[in-house]
Amino acid sequence: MRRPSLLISTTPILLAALVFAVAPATPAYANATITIVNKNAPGVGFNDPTPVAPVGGNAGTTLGQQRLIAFQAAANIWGATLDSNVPIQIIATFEPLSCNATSATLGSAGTIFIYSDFSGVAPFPGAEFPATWYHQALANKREGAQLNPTPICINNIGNACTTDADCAGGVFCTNADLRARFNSNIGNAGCLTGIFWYLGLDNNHGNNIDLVTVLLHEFGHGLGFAQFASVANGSQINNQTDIYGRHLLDTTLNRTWDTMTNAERAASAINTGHVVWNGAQVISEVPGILAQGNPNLRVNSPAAIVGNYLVGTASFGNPVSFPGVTGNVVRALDAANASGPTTTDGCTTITNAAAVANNIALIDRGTCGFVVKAKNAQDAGATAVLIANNAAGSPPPGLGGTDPTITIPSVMITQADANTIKAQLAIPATVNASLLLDLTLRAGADATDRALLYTPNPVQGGSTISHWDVSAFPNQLMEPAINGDLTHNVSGVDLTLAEMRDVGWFPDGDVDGVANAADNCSSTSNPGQEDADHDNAGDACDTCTDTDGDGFGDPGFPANTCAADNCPSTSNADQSDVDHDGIGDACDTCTDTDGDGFGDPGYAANTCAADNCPGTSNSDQADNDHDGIGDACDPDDDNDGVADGVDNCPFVANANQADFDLDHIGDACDAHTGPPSNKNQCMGTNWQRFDTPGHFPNQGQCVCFVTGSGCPSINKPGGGPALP
Amino acid sequence: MSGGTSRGNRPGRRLAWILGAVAIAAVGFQGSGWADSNSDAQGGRKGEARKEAREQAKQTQTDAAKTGAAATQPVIRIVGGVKVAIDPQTGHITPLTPEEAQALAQSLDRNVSRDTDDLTVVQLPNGAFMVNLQDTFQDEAIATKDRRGKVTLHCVNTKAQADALVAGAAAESGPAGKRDATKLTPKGLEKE
Repeated sequence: MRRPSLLISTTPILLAALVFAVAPATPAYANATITIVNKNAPGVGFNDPTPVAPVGGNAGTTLGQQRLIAFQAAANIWGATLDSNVPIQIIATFEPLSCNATSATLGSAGTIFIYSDFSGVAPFPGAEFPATWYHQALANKREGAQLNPTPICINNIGNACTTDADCAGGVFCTNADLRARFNSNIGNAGCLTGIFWYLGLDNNHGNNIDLVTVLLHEFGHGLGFAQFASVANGSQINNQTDIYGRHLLDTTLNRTWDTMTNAERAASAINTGHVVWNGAQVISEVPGILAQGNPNLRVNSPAAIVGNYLVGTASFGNPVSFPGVTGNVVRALDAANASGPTTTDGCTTITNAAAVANNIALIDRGTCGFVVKAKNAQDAGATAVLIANNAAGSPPPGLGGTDPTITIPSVMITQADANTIKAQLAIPATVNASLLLDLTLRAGADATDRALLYTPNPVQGGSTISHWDVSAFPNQLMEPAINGDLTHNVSGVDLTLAEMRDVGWFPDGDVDGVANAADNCSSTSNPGQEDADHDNAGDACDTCTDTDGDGFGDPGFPANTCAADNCPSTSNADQSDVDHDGIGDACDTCTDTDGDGFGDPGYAANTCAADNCPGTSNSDQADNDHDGIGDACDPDDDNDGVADGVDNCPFVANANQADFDLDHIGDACDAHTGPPSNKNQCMGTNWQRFDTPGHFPNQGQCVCFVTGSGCPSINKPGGGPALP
Repeated sequence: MSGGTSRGNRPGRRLAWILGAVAIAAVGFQGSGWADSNSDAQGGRKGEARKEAREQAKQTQTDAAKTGAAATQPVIRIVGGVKVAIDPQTGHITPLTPEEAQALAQSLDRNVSRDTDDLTVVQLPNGAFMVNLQDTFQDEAIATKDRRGKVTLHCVNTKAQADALVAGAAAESGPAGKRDATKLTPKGLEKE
């Protein structure tokens, strides 16, 4: 598992050590190395030597170090969330950017290159759709390799280079993924004076600006949360869509951006409240993330204008609640005077309090503060206030201001909606409405729980469709307003990671190119997905690759932790191996317990010759009596019914065990059955002890009793030499 | 394609000077010396600009010493093609003039440009198509501060949006309001 690392081109080794010290451990199932490439010159930006005290977990001891550590911390958060086998590089500088006392450019970021129609190095999937632009980091991830390994000048596609010096205009020679430049002057005199970057890593930014949060947001754009069509005229780069646009669904046209004409896209970009994200991952996560309930003005009558109307909520008064306030909408009137030039601006005491009382006051925006208007309406007895915007556009902005004495809810409605209501009032018709928290809607989603994109009309400060709608709640990282209550999480409580999944950042913890969901080893790289035992656990991570399914592992699979199978290809749960040769009986081609090279009977796998003495080593397989039982183990080798142990001719059948000469060698096998060696042996057939003195030279010798051929001639009575 | 700055309006030479000004201002703002400035890794032109600025600053101090004047007004010099103001007391470059700020703003305008006219599609040996966005199509974070000192952060991706925010900041207006659950940070709410 790789950890996020840091490439420091111009900073001391000490800084590298500091950054590593704060780098979080990479979760087991995420793996992308995102590197901040410090492009500041010595002495400035990331190399600013100004001493600073550690803050919020940022242990850097110089301003430059702390900036770089904060950058790397943001990169690490993304790196711990996304997976890629291609390192991601962010060309970064901290430099003076435009600012004044009331506004400042904090920084900018984005992808440097985009790609389409890449096929992927197997098993990496390549582009999901043809003719579709992808951010470089995402494209590389799906390619499984650096699509363009050759650095080029950022400002000139045709200018190949090897160093920055090769590029005109002082721009960089790179094939890095993102470019980020942030303002080093924030907080200085004349540049949001007194408001500083918070460089801590703990989000404890107070009134300062949390750098890590801003970086998470801007890096998010560079990694995939951005589209490349013009919101002004809908044109696309090379007339082809991008992967973000493929997920932008205009619910009015019921078509995604990739299927639209330029004019349709431009119109969709300002189709407030009617562009949603159709990606499956975001759709699945919306219910678990976005809160139920959306502030809403519901006109109940007259029928001609019944419907729901967008509102901008207020920072004062009671919040819009459920079931909210219901009443007739009444134009609150006041004197046209120096405080407010019209009778409908609500800048002074309401003069038609009787009509307003217990109803919803409608007041025009302008001249005086919202809290003034709301307070006057409240004093007149209004139960709620609708401020009619005096400028075209949608959604309506929120109402700022503070007055703790105001308790009624107040909202802004668009100029167009206000005119619709005013037209009814002018008839005159009674307009009845409810200002309520609509619990049928989620904050930031449409009626079918699809996340809304920010599509203000007209395009206005706060960006456009490359953000979630500002109605999202809890606040989301990728809203146009980077809210102070954001955490450093890009998932769980936030839809950002889900969006990244939808555009193609599929989870691939082992970065082998196979998505976790389909990977048979999601945390061990195995591009080939080998699975010898077809158990859906890849061999690379299968703790028991067991092709015969007997519960014992096949040899040659390092991940196995189960006992080794003595018959990998033959199921033998008992692992019987009677000859202890390491090969199970079930597959042993010569189960041979006596080790004589001949197989024991009864083992089906044996292909060697059967052993006629399985329990007794007898490599000669001698079988005297050809009874199939080797002599080594045959109890009756001559098969004469007399056990070998007592058989005086174990290899010669001699059931009578005749042993004329009493030498314990049966006559059948005794080469010397006679003459007897002594008189006591004269006990066999045809022999008789004959010891009559005088007839034989030696008394007690045996002679053949039977005359004729039945006796050896030498021992015939009356003849032959004396027996020894 | 419409919108944005065309290639003809943003030649590399002009961009180089703008970046040079940025680098110079960076040194000036940080109050650090000029040592090592010539080792600038970002390109020779910027390094030359810094060297020139350093020489100009030294010259300004010398001039002030010679005249014995208690000079307090910045001395305007042309450095790297861009006007910079040098504090005669310190020799440091003063904060950006409006003109310099304008030049800087133009370079940032380029970052959020969505102009596609100058973008070229090339096919790589592996068959993929690539576009070098040339530092455009970026998203920009902007902070605005209201009269009460509350800061709101926004992200924009067109010049019009950026302009609207900056203009709105002066008039204390902002984008659509947000529900603020924690009250930790003010939202971009309209004030009147």
